[in-house]
Amino acid sequence: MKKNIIAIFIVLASVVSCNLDKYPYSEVAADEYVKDAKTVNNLVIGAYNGLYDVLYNEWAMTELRTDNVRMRVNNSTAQDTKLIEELDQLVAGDANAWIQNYWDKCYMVVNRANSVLASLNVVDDPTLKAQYEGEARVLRAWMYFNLVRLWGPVFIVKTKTGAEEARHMQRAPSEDVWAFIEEDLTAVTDGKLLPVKMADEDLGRIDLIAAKAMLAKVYMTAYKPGDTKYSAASDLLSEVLAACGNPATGADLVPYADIFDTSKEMNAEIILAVRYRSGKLGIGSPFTTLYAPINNAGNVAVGAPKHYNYPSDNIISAFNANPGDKRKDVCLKESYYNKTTGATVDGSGGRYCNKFIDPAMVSEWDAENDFPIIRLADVMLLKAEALNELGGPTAEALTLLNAVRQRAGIPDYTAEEVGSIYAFRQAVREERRLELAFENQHFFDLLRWGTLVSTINDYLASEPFYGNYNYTVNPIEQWQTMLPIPVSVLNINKTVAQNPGY
Amino acid sequence: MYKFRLLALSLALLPLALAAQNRTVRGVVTDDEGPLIGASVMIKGTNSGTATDLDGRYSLQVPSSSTVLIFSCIGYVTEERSVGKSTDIDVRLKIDDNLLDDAVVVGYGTQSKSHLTGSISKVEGGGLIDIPVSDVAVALQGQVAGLTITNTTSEVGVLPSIRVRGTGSISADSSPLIIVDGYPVPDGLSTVNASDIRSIEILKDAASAAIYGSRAANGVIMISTKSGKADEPHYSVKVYQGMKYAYQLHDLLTATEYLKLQEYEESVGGPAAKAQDRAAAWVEQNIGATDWQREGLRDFAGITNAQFSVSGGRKTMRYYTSVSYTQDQGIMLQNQVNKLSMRTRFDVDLSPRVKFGYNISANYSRTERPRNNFIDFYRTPSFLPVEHNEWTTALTGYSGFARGSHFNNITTPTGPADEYGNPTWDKGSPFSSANNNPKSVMENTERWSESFGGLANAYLEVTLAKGLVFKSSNGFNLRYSPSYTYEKLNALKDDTPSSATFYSTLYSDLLSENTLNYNLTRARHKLDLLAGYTIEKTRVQRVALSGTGFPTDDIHTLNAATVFSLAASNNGNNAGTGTFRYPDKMLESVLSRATYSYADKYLLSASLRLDRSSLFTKGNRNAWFPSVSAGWRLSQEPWMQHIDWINTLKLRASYGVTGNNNVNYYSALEVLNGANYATGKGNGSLVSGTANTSTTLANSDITWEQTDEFNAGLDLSVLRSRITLGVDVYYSITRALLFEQPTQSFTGFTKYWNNIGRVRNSGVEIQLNTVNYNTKRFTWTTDLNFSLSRNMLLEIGGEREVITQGERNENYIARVGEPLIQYYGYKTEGVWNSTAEISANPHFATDQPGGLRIVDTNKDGLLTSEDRVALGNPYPDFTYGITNTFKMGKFDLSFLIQGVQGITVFNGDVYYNESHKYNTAYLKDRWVSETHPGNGKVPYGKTGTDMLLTDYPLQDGSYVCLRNVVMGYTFNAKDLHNKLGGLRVYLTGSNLAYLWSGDYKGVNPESRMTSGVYSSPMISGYQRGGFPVTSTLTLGVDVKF
Repeated sequence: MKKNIIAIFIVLASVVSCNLDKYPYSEVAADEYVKDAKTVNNLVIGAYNGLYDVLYNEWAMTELRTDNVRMRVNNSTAQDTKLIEELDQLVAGDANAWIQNYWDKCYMVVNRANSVLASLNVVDDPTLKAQYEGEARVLRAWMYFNLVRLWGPVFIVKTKTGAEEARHMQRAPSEDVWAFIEEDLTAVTDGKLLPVKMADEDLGRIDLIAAKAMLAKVYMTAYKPGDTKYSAASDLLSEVLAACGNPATGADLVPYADIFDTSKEMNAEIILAVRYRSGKLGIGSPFTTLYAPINNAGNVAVGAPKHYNYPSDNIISAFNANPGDKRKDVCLKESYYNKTTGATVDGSGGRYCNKFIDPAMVSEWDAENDFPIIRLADVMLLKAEALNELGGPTAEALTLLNAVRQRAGIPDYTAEEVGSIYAFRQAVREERRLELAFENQHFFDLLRWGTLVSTINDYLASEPFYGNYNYTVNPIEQWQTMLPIPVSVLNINKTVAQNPGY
Repeated sequence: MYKFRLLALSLALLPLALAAQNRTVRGVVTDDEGPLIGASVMIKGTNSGTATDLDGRYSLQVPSSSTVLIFSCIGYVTEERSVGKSTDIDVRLKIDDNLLDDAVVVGYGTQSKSHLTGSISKVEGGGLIDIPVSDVAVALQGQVAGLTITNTTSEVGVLPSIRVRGTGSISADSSPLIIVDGYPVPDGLSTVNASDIRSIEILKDAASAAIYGSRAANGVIMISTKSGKADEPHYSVKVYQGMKYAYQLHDLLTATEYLKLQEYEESVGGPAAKAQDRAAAWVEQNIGATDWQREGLRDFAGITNAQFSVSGGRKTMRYYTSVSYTQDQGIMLQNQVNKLSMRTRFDVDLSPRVKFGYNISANYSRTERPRNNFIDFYRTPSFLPVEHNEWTTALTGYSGFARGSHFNNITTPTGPADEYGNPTWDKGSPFSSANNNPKSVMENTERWSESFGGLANAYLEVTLAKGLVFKSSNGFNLRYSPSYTYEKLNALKDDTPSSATFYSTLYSDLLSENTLNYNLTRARHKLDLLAGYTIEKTRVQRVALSGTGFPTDDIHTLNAATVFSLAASNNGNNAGTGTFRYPDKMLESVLSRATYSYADKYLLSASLRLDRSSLFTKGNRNAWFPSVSAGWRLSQEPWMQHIDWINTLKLRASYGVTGNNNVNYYSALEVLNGANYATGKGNGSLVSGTANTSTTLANSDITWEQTDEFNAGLDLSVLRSRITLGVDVYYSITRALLFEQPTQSFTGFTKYWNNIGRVRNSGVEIQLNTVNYNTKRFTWTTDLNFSLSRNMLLEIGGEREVITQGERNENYIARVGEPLIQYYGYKTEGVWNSTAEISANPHFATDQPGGLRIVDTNKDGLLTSEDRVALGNPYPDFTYGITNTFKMGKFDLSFLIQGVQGITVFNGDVYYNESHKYNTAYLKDRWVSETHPGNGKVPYGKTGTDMLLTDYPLQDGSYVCLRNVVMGYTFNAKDLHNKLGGLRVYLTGSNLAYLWSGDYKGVNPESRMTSGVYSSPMISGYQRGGFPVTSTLTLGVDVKF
């Protein structure tokens, strides 16, 4: 009897066999995953994927904080509106969730890029290894470029960092951040880590031209008097323009409306874009839903859009200064037609940012539109600007500026009109604003030019909208151009310095 | 001594008895269930007597009318009756739940109550069956000291929150381990049918729970189901039907009343009545007001239950089987639970040394829940009709369900009077919400979940030698739970596509438990040894899929969807839907226990368990859970024997260690998920990528959370056990607290799990039972329980404090040296009365008269975030329950008063403009103007500083309620001419009276509803527009035959 019992016992115990190591198994453990080029490539794609989260928040850090864009209504008590309202008036505090998210997501991409860099040793093919390294370093530099412009000194994270180590880290001085960005980008451009142009199936991944253009932009931004970086930028920009066929007239360029046409994506204008794909794949563009008019009853976009990124009166007048500017209609609409009621909806409910609206979108948050990061006209105007800053308005500079205007369908500047450094500078700045409206460039441009405070204050004073708040919208001061370090950072480490003024 | 005197007395009476003339007395001995077989009927003072037959009948020759009969049966209270002149004496014996040698279920065994050294509360199943609920946990509310059950929503089918001795953990789950007949069943309380329950034991102290090791830190609730007795079949049929209604609704103004208020306020210097309110009132005057709260509720909500059981057995086998069906409706539309459960228990003695048995249960339930919260009903203004009528169609151009935005820019004759005194036409938008009205949302959506469960457990028990028993118990528990939501085209807002989401969870659990038990009694020594090996494998397999674009509203199932999603989130992360998760976990344990008693006076017990879990990485996998406890039965001491009025007195003390492993799978191990991108010509195509898409940074160092607890107790019963008292005090420290800590997000993640921090819990529990009145005709008993617990955060990862943002803007703080979680924000002192007052005092730039005035707590002359302070905590001062039971003949009445005192709730209603716009709770005495400042405390609308950041929404959530009243009448077999074995008719009421503090502005102080995704263990006490308290009236019939 006893023997039988023991036998039963043993059988039962073996039925529920015991291996404590194999659980769970519906995900792959990170440390076991990376084994060859294919898996590293997946990590690179995973890093690009992080850009979706960055872009989702980026408009609120940049375009919203300029004279291009404002809220639709004032005095709303809805909580999410309040956060955006604070950003719009440049008075957002360190607990603002949009700021926190943008910070988090930029660093999320940094971390994913760092994971790629840490895994390169398993890639045998030297070309692929160079490419993955190049993509990861440009992605990382790109994020730091955003971070340093918005926050100044930030944390430099070069490798995978644990929670304990992170707790004691401090912000690095801005100079170190700029140097880190430059180090990453020059390593790519000098070492030619990336292909000049990606193969067709890889279109959309960062290539060497994009890396050069980004480095040129860094130089243009980090420029200080006496520095040679304008000339370094100018040289790089020439290389980029040459690679794009050195356009000299509007006819050399893709028509303005086509740049953003969802059926003409990755057109010749695009140097670098964040690529979205509709079809409920989880990689659709959110901007149609973010920007389309609220309650539009499906006449502009399906779903329940947010009506954010609302064009200001100010930018409408700026477009109206040149009647016939083809860009206005692409950039924004002042009304839409309601097919159901047969009425045209105008006024505050009808105006919206049109640039990234996909009328063919089938379900919310799932539009097709790519979001350009660097495009040809941006490079042309940068080049014109650099030439002007280095030696006044040269013929080449004027040609580039006018090519952009020709495409927009507005008259050329004559050499006399923009004859002085000053006049040309004003002209190229105004052109950049209109050409790149709503593309998240204007805030960084104003910052770079040092005209952010005056521009914003003129705008807050002149836009009638701000007079209607039930409190006074105050002019801003220089310190408000920097964002506050998110409060979560200071909560963990009280010795981390907050930006001045917060 | 006592016995001797009794004997002497009997001897003295003997001759008298002998002298008398013999006659026959007969009758039936029953218990609550029916006839008792083999009950002994003895003539007091003699050895003569008889036993009852299969029908519980007896007949006995008695010597005289002064004879006293003693009726006894093991497990029942012995009764004595004088014969007097009667010839028929029927006796109903009461189950002896005060009997000190009552068996109490403990982990892997039973123990006699008198020898318990830990803190275990027992609830008899009989006390729960009359309470009409579809979830046993709800019936336990207020019954046990130290067990806190909170109905976080009045919706039926939603598990209440269950806590044993307060909150031990702030990050890992705080729900207790639930064991049904030895088998861990996470949703045990809601799947077991109340009338199948024999008893529920709550293992409260760590020493009692330590035998369950790593899962026991939040206490253990053990449910034992009924088994059969060797007897003829007993049949029982039980049916009840109840009706429910909302105890109280919000007191709201109609649009017309609100306009009147505005006009009055304008006349005393307040803000001018707004065009939108004039327009709303005008619409309402034309079509009548809609009572939206009523629109959200059922006209009649009912609860129906029918159940049948049969039990019985032969000499060597016993069986119990039951079937139960319940339909329970919530007062809210679209809220209903249907449950069907079956249970069979079978025990057989294969030989005198081998026992075998199984326990099989199957259950099915379907729960429907409304798509919207009640807040959607009480914030919709009364002018808005449910559906357009001809008049509103003419006005707006819309038909069908009405929606706020349909009334945008309507032209109404509400403008200022013209020169002839007639109102001019004006444009107004009375309620511009883009959402569809809540009634139409309800009608156009469905949301249900189902659960198919089956548990089978078989045991074999072999007596290997005298006192040595081997038991192997093996079983599986399977539960398949699909859930589904469906939204028609345009259901939530116009132009939202039709969509459906399907989730399913397949929970499977295999368990093998093998124990050896050795029992030894030598003279005054009693020793009980237990050793065991258990292994448990749990798999939770989840699938989620969503689809959109249904071609027709007639097919609601996913097969009709045209687009299936990999993702539903709005920023590219494919978290949530389209996922398949398949984590397994394994727990392997070795356990042992020794219990020793000397002379039934000195009691000692010790246990030790080793757990190994697959949740943690190799080096952190093993943990030991020891416990020791001791007891001293003073009343057994010779020197206590002469104190007649003390029946029992026992002192207990225990120490034990328990663990908590309720962490998710991704805490220790970094895992990768899909993270895709688009590349290629044209629109590009999807390329797969991988990334760690979690926001949690994996920490391979984490391990068990452990709680060390001391418990001391006293059990006293006096005056012939008419007063019994149980007191327990405890003190516990949870260390290596599993805490999801924020990390610097520049690591790429925002949080990580860590074993940091310590929490202290301490408290007192008192259970007092008194027999206030006890005569043959009338008894009155009172059971009182009282619990008080306090917690304190001792350490949290080296931080001084951790601030967490809640569902909205409100903040919670966990600060060392203070209660675990506290509300955090600005302290207010009434409202600003004037701009002059604002500018003369520290203020915020956005402050306005009529807005909340913030206290400059640090007195630096400025209002900054530094002025935020802790504003109270979400824990009660104490909780209590009092049950009074009256029995008069065949009539019985009992009622339970239950209450929670000194709890603070965060009423999130202030977040929403509309939820307090028409609500008199926020309008009464509000600030209107400098000259009419109201009571100086109620702000005007949402003016000024964000109220969520202040103490304004913090309200006293204390309550006391008449939780249950049961009134019954029982007919015995004789009343029924023996056609039935028994019949009971009863009426019950739940929440018939419910009182809360005047400070509380909602309709359900117990509600803790949040929008799920925001809920975090660091957020507690937040309430967002819960459903009203539900009152129930039920009529029931139990028949036995």
